[in-house]
Amino acid sequence: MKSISTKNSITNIKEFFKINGWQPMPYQIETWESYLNGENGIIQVPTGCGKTYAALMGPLSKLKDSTKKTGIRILLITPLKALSRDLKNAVYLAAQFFNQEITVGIRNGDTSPYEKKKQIFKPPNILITTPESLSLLLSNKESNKIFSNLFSIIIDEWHELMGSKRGNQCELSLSWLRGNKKDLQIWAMSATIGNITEAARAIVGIKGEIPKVISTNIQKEIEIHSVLPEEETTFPWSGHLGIRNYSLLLKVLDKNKSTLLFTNTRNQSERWYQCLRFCLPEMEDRISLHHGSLDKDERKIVENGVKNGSIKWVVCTSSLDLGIDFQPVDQIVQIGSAKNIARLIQRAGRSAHRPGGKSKIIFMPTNSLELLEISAMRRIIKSGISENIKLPELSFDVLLQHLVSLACGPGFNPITEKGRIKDCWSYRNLKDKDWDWCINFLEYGGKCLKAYPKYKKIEREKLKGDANNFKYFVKDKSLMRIHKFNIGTITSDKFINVKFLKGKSLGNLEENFATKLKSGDTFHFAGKMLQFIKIRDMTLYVKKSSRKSSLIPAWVGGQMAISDLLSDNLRKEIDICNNLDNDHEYINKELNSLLPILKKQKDLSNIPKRNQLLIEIYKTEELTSLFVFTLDGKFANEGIAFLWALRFANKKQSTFSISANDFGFSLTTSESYDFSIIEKEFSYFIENKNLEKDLENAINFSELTKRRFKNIAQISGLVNQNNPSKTKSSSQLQISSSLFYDVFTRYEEDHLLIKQAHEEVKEYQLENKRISNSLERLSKLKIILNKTKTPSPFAFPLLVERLKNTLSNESIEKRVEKLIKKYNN
Amino acid sequence: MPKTSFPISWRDSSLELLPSKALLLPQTNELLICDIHLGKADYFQQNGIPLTNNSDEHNLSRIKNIVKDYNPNKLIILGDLFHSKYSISESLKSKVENLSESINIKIELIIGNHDIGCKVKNISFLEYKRSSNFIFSHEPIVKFENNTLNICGHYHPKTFLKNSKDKLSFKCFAMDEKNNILYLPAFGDLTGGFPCRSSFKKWAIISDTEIIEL
Repeated sequence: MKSISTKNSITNIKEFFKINGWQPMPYQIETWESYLNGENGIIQVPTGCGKTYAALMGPLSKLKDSTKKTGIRILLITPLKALSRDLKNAVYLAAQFFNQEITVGIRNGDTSPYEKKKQIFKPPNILITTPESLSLLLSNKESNKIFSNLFSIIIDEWHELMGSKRGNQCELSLSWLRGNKKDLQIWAMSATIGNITEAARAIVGIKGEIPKVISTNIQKEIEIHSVLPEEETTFPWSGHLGIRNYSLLLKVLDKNKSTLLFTNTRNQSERWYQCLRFCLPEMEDRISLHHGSLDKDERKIVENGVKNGSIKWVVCTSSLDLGIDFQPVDQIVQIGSAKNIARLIQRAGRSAHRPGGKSKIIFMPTNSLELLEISAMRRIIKSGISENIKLPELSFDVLLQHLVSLACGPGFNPITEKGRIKDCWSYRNLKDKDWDWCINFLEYGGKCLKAYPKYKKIEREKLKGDANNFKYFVKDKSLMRIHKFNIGTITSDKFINVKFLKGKSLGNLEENFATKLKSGDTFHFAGKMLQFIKIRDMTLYVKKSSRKSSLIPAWVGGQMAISDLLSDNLRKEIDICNNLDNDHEYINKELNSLLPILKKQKDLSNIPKRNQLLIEIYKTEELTSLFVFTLDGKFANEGIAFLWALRFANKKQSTFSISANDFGFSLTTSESYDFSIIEKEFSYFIENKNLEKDLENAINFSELTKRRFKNIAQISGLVNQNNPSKTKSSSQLQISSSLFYDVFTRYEEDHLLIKQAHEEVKEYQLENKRISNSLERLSKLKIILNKTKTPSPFAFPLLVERLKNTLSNESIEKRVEKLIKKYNN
Repeated sequence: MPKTSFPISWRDSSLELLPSKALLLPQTNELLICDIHLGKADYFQQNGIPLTNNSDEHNLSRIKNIVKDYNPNKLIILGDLFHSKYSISESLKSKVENLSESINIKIELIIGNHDIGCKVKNISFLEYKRSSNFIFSHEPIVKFENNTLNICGHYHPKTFLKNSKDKLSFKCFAMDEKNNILYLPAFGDLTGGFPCRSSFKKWAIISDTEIIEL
């Protein structure tokens, strides 16, 4: 039943559309109606289909009649600062139509302190902000007042936030806002994802009705154009960068069109940038480089250059995935596998930002087997299936940060707050015991610190009129300042700053790379040839150089595995390849160009069918290698590789070096080793029973955990990444997370943050679940064991990309002994 | 080969690099350590960061042990005995003031950047110290004299041992031969380190009892 007021409002909104010459789409009308009926919801439509006005018009028409109330009335959360300005323009346009007095403000890291102060004093009716700035706002003493008349929250690009701890941060902030105002209406906008109900749950919490899911059948067409090798090759290109084939790419690109070239790693982007500039000297001023390790100012110059058209081509990493949104780019190039569908669609979407517009992406393989992935992706997109995006669960680091934020601002009562937090989707399984630990950790510093009275982060303050009731507050001004400077879940490693001698900052390098440099060495960075001069106080000083060098820094963490959905379809694709000769229905450009390679694979070994597991053994005089084509994501393959190395070693002692990619893995040993026992003992190798324990034995677990703990220590406020001022006292607070790790593991066994690091390693690094699913799947397959005379095309990339990982389950003493071998004479 | 101590020489003086992160000068029988950072955990706690402070006690007992083992005439600390003047508790202060008496030798402290403003009795505070072949300081004094070796702390040198399969980091002694500077490893338990330049000569401390020349 539509009420009269709803009807009136809809007519009103339609009027606004009419004035602007737009036609409302059915899903937009559905959204307005649902909103005006008081529902919560999530809108799932492709980018560029008018989501913003779908979500916004309901709240606006409600706001127009009650502008007298103070405080923020509508809150808009967006993942990216860069999106705020466009959003503001859109919001402002509509707001003006309804009521000229409505005010719209932006609050994010770029907002001036003056503006921020003004917003606290006199908040705008509508505020556009990021999750980080929202957390900061909650930590303000006035937050109760600011949000007292809030009635609506809209979250933009929720799928983007959901995949990381920023999603948790957002959930926690929402829980506090919901707790303060019972009748809040919350709407989110999302790209198409598989687990939309979970996404919907996460915005409103576990109680109450599931929000309405509004989706459309608007399908955005995506055209994928693959750059195919011209000559017939029977081997996948080696080197994995495929940069040798740049000329093929240049043939299909237009120099005068605005172009984004996406690469998967920062190292790759530096290489391609260097290559393109070298080949196209006339484009020198119009090609640019953009990645996360470049200086902020440097990046801004590039972003502006693209906007005003002075820069045509940008080689970039995911740093620009959401970046410049205001204008469509003419050409999009994906260099190397995009690893998952969502990413490919997102990137392709940058090329056409109108409803119904076709998006186009040029795919440049860096390894010819990636053509199989593209072929698989094409089929997935056609079928309309989408990937799940997983919200991290029970992130204690983010929870601790949130609690301190509240204690800096309105304060919190542990009982009330526990209820609110357990109401969050990703904290629904929070145990009372763990909650108590968190409070204890903040109040006393944890078990091992109880005896030290000087420690104080949060302190109790009794509430007036009720002697038993209290709230926690942060009282120390400097603690508050440090905390506020460090709010956020995007962490960075400790980097060395790169600067010109004259003082201009270029960006960051990893310490490891920097310490390897000798005075006078030249290397490539920020697209420039640089000469190393000196390191002083965590800063590496350089000057420009004209000498040639092939040295390019690598950054850790650039690697990704292909998604579950994609690996499943890759297996299908390979199965199809088996029958290509008889089945012309499936053949496409990519498969066609792969035919020679597939034929060679068939001649030398086999192309595995869906019910088969292909294993190859290749022997030279010095080495024996085992190749297993598990066809799972890289990390899962790597995990199985470590597991099997351990299980082989249990059968017959040896040391294996391991390499893995998205296709499979290889184990290599320097002796003559009988890998064929796998056939008889297969059931032992795929055993799922002691998986966790075996994995912990197989992999240097503490090393991985330690690395993971680095980020957790930053988020939970143990280690500060930003210092409010570079004074003496702040430099005295520098400490490495690994020292914390050592102290905690020594003195407090069940430290929750250490446990979290452990869980994160299992969940995200090794993908335990995927490994166990994979073993389960393998158990149903029939083994095909081939001894090959030369490595097959499938095995070739594994051979090239040897990771030099060795099964290391030895004690520290043993490892030291091995390391010092070369000094022992 | 790993050794339990590593002798080197400078002009007519000999120096002994010890795995206990101390340097012994046998001719004058002086023992040198640096960068102990007492009170570091307290300082962190005051600033709302829960770092446990069992380390001060451990650091002091380690000092007592090496003095017992090598029986030097004098203990010279090359700066940063304390972490901050704001985190010297009464109990820490009295422990430090009693140290000289309990080990029964004189203690000299070259004032480090972290020691500024710290006041304790029974320890002599110096800006720097010279002898015929050496100059002792906290921060390095670049190119002092060709014949003089500058022995200092401050830098917290650390190095990596690695092969194609593995990598571990260790505190180390580091010699900058170009500038005649010998950096001592940080003595304190709660101190991290900075990787040092590849041009430096290094001796890594691979366990409590072993040191190895790289």
